[in-house]
Amino acid sequence: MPLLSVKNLSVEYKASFGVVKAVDGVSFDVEKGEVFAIVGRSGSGKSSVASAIMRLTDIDGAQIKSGEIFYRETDLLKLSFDDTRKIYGKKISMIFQDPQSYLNPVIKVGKQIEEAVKVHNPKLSKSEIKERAASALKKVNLDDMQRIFNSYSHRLSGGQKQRILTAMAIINEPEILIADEPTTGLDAAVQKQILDLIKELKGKMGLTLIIITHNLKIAEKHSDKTAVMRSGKIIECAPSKEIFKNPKNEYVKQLTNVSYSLPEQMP
Amino acid sequence: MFTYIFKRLIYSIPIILGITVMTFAVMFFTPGNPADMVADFNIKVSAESKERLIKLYGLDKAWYEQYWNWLKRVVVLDFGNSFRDGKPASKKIAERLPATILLNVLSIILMLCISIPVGVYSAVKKYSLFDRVLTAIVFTCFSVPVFWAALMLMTVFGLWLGWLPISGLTSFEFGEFSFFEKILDLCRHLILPVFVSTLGSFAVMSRYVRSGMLDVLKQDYIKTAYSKGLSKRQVVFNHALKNALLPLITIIGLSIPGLIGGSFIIETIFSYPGMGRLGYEAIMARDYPVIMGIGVISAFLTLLGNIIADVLYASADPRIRYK
Ligand SMILES: Nc1ncnc2c1ncn2[C@@H]1O[C@H](COP(=O)(O)OP(=O)(O)OP(=O)(O)O)[C@@H](O)[C@H]1O
Ligand SMILES: [Mg+2]
Repeated sequence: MPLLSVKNLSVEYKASFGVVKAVDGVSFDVEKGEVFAIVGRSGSGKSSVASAIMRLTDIDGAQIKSGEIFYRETDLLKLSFDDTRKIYGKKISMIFQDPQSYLNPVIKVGKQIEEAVKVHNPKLSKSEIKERAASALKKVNLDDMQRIFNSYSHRLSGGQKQRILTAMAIINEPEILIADEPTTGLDAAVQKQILDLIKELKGKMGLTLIIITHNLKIAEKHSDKTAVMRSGKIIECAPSKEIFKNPKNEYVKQLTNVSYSLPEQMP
Repeated sequence: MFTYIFKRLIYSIPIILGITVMTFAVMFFTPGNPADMVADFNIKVSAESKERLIKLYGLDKAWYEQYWNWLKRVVVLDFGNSFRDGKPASKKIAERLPATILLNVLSIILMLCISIPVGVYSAVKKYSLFDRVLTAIVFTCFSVPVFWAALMLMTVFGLWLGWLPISGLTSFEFGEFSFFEKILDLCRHLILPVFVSTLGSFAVMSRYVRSGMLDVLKQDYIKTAYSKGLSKRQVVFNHALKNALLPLITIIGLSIPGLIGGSFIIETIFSYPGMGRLGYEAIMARDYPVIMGIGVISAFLTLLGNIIADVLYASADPRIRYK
C-alpha cells in the first residue's frame, strides 16, 4: 500500500468574484522512498494540493470540498485538528515556496528551530534540544551556527533562510517531505545547492519526497514519478522517464517541448 | 540611542512653538477677554479700573506683541501668573498634573487589560457568538457619548445605589483616614472616571487587536508554525501575539492627545481635581497664562509620548533600528 494516497481531492477558494476551484478531483499515490514530482504552470493548483495535505487550507481561506488523504491507514482529513498535531512536523513536513516570509520576524531563529524539536519531544532537556538543532543545521550545511542561532530572520540571506526552513522540516526525521518550489527566489547557484541538499538528505534519511515545481528539468532529473497538473486537474501521471520521453497528453507534449527550448531557470 | 532621543527632542521644539502660536491666536481671537470676565460679573468695577486691568495684563497690545512677551518669559520657564488668583500658572498646573496622569495611566492599563484578551479571543473565534456579541458591545461603547455615559453611571451608581462617590478625588474627611482608608477612598473615587475614560478607547483598541490578530494569523510564518505541529494555542501565543501587539505601541503613543482632550470633559463632569478641569475653568475665565501653560504641557506630553513610543517600538521590533 502507498505511503501517501490522495483520492479525489477538491479544494476551493472563495474570491470576491466567486469560487475558484483550485484543485478539482485530484488523485495520486506516493510510494515509500519515492521522489514524486508535481509539475504545472503557475496557478495550476500545485501548492493548494500541498496545503490540503498539510491541513493549512483554512489559513488561506480555502476549503477542502471533497476527498481523502491517506497517510498509511489514516485519513488525515478525518482527524481532529488536535490529532493532526502529532503527525505534522514529525511524520510529514513541508518546505514552502518562498523562504523570505516563512520565518517569524520577531522570534530568534534559534528559538524557532528548537521549538520544532521541543513540540514533538517534550521530555528532552535543554541541552539535548540544542544538540539536535545544531546537528540539523550541520546537515543543511550551515556553519556559523552561533550567529545564526541568535539572529532574527531579516539578517539572513534567502539561501540561509531556505536552509533553516529545511533544517526545521527534517529535524524530527519525518517520513514524508513536501518541498514546494524550494528554489524560487534564490539565485541559480543556491538553487542547485538546495536541490542537491534535499536529494542528499533523502539518501541519508530514507525520506519520501514530494517535489512541487514548474521546472520540468528538475522533475525529469530528480524524480521517479511525475504528475502534470493543469487547471486543478492531473492530466497525466506516469514514471518520469516515460512522461518526458513520450507524453501521451497533447498539453504535456507542448509543455515539454517549450521547456526544452527554454533555459533552466525560467519560470 | 541617546543621540536619537536628543535629536527627536530638538526637532520637537519648533513643533511646540507652532502649537503655542496657534493656541495663542485662537485664544486671542475668541470673543471676550480676561478683563471683561472680571469686570462684567462685578458691577462695582468701574470702567477705569477695567482700563487699568487691561493695561496691567498688557491686553491693549497687538496679539503678536503679547505672544512675544509671553514667549520671552517662557524661555526662562516663567509661565506668568493666573489672572484669577495671581498664583503662578506653573504652580497651578503642577498641582493638578499628577491627578490627570494618574487617571490616564490607570485607564490605559485597564484598557489594555480588557482589549487585548477581548481582541485576541474574538480574532481566534472569528464569527462565533462571542465575537458577534462583542462586536455589538464594542460598537455600542464606541457610539455612546462620553458625557452621557458619565451622567448615567453617576446617576445609577452614585445617586440611586449610592455605592460610589460622584465627584472629586478624595472624601471630605480624607485627612483623618488611616493609610488604607485613604487608598480605598482614592480607589472608590477613581472607579467611575477611569471606567468612563476607558469606554471609548477600549472599543477602538479591541478592534485594532482583533484586526491585527486576524491579519497576522494569515501570514506565511503562521503556516510554518502549524506545519511544525504546534497547537493553536502555541501558535497564537508564541507566534502571533507579539506580531499583532507591536503596532499597539504606536497607537497608544498617538492616543495621548485624545486622552488629554478627554480629560477636559471627564474631569469637569466628575469635578476631578486634574489639569483638564483646570483647563476648562481657565478657558471659561479667559485666564490666558494658565491656558497657555496647559497648551505647552499638553504639546510636550504628546511629543514625549510619541518619542517614547518610537523608542519602545524600535526596541521591541528587531527589524527596526534607530537612524
Ligand atoms: N489565497 C487565495 N485566494 C484566492 N485564490 C487563490 C488563493 N491562493 C491561490 N488561489 C487560486 O488557486 C489557484 C491555484 O493556486 P496555487 O497556489 O495552488 O497554484 P500553484 O500551482 O502553486 O501556482 P505557482 O506555481 O504560482 O505557485 C490559482 O488559480 C489561484 O489564483
Ligand atoms: Mg505554488
